[in-house]
Amino acid sequence: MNVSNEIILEFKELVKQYPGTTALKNVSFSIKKGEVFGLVGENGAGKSTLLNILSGAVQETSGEIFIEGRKLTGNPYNRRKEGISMVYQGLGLALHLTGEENILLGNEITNHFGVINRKKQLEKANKLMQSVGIEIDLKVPVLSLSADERQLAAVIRAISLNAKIIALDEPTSSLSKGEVEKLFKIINDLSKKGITFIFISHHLEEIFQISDRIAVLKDGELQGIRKTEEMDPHSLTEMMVGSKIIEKYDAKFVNEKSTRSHKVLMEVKDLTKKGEFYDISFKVYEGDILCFAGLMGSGRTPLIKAIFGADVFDEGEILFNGKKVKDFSPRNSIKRGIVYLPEDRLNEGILKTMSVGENITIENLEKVSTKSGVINRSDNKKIQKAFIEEFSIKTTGTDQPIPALSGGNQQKSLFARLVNTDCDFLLLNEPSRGIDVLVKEEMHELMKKFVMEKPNRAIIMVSSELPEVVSTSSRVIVMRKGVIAATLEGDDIEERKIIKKMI
Amino acid sequence: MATNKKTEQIKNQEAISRKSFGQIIINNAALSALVVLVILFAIISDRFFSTINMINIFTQVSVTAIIAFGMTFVITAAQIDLSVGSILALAGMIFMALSVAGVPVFFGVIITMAIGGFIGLFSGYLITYFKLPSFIATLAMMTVARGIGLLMRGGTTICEGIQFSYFWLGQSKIGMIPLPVIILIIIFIIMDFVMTRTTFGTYNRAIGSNPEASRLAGISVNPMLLKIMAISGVCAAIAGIITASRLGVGSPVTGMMKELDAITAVILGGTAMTGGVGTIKGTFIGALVVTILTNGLTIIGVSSYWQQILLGFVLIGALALKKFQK
Repeated sequence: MNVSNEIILEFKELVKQYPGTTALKNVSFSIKKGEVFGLVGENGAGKSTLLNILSGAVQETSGEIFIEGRKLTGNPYNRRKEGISMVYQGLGLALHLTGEENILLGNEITNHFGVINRKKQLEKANKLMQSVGIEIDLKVPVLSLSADERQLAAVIRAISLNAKIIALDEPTSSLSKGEVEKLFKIINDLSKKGITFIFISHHLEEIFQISDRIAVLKDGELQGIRKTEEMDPHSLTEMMVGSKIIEKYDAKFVNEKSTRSHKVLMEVKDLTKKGEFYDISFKVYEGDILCFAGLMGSGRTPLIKAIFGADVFDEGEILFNGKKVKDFSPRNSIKRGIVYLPEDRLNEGILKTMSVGENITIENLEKVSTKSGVINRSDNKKIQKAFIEEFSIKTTGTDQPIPALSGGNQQKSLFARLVNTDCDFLLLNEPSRGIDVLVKEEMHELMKKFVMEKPNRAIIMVSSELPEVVSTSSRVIVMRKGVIAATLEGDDIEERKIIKKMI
Repeated sequence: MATNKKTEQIKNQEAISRKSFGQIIINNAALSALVVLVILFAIISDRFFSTINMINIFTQVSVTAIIAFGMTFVITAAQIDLSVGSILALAGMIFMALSVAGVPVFFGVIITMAIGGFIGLFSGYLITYFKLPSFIATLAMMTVARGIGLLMRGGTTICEGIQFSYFWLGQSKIGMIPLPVIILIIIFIIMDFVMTRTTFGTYNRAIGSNPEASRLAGISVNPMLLKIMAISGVCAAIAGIITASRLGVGSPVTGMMKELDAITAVILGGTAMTGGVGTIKGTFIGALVVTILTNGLTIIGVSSYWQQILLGFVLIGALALKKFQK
């Protein structure tokens, strides 16, 4: 990482005020040319706001930004000309356009009349891909690419705009380990060429791996900037959170019940879905937290959705409490006490136009309404308030629209929604995705408590975060390319052994 | 740190309640518009605020509002129903045809409502099973229903041989209040209750907000959509019964553009086209705005062509105002 001493970007006394809350409070710091600059902080600390102001998507309340000594003016279209490029958490791609069209969106190669020269565009896009060593199909709509391919397309687009500064907001959240390594190699190569990177991530190991310096934001204030080599994960987390947290990632979860109870709650036999997973057989015991590890595309999401009844499968059967399951549907699973937490919280989970409270009780309104469907409003509110308190969901009240909550609190609301159904069996798909350290821990404690509180309970979890897998599971099934590669228990559950089986 | 969070929370609550008078007006755009229009027309013409005209307004609004209530459920579910105007006309024809055939009025009403419901159900089937966008499905039913109505008497009306009892619904009064208004109020109370206080209403908003998330949360999305489209059909049929009963004829060419009036009323009332949010009370106000605008303008002598233009601008204004709502 070729870091010069030349300052390329400077933030001066940046303030962003929203009604009722200050997102950024007098943030001032500078970034050097060719640096990979890491930006960390809890959910709601102000990281995304800072980048949004830099890219021009949001207007600052006061303060200034200087690039190469020049002050940046209000017009966001100038940002691109100044060489600032942004890869958002939501990627910012036009999903129905092809890879080539997306990469050159706004920068099309046309003749005088505005007719696009497809051939030259493809050439340029291909050249860009090769210069960074990526390979994706540029001719199909981006919608049909896998999540990690889409991420890479977004990165290529940022690079193609001759950016001097590229900001990445949680770029690795849907990337496998191999893809992350690829992305980091690209970032390293480009930073050597003098391109500056700003990198936001919750994955502290990645921040340590890739960045030269790290800035910590907390409640909109800059806590400090340190050179990466002078820091370690403990002290960094302390700066982010402001209090000592016990590093629980070393401890393993051994549920006494599961070593004693051999009661089989669910048995999956030879489950097959062509193109996704084949001959999957396993048992879930009372008190288990069974975790499915594996690379993206190994078939875990289709499998867990099939168990829930949200997707069909071709062959095999599932026994629940000894009985063969027949009518597969989300509704019937919920009636049996099996519930599902989707991987994509924003698009498959929260109901954006409804309040926190409504989102919590929606899956079990029967509990608070008469047979004919009339809702008892005070009972409904009581339950909503109780969960908000029990799970420490940060919100101004039961009626606050759920989009106003941070990602971590939205996730806790979804978890509350599941627990409210008086269920016994949880199917969790990437429960910690995009969640900060503290909330992650809270969720893990909630999960363990859930499984130990009452009899006949178990959790099946899909996770791509190995520390989480190691610290919360009682058993691990590793999937590779649609089949079961290994089943690990007890002392065998450790990162190296899991990774070995994943590849 | 705990005190910081507390003060922030209090600041949040204050920010929410500290709204200027101007902001309150903007937030309740439809209601504000209604008040302004009533005052305006009352000033301009002394005929506007007369008892006769007020009764007139409420009778006119009943047809628009009943269709708009059904439309509210539909739009809240992020769908649209373009067939309501045609169902209105067809229902009127069928109602009067049943009368001529000697069917007692009670059964006439039931059968007509059921047919409206079936047409809505069919649209729902196209949407849920054949996965047609509601725009396309109801556009098709719009033309089919209109066609059937025209076919019944070769394009002409049913105006002879109608039983007297069939005029009762549209033309009688209880005291000073016309029966259509009473029907309107009953339907309003029922549908507002369903929307705000039942699981049906909550699920309606949920599937409009995100059908996939709703499905994963255990809501039966397709049965809900079928019911909602059927309700819209029934509402349109009731409106058709009232119209035919008032006019005294079954006419295959009534109800043209009625779907646009209904949609305007719903949007003015605050229900969003994108779904997930719906209010029957709001739709009622929207329907009143639409009706009073037409009524008032007619009284002061504005041509119906200008009325149409103005109505369009009112809709644009209402949507533009949404940007400033907090």
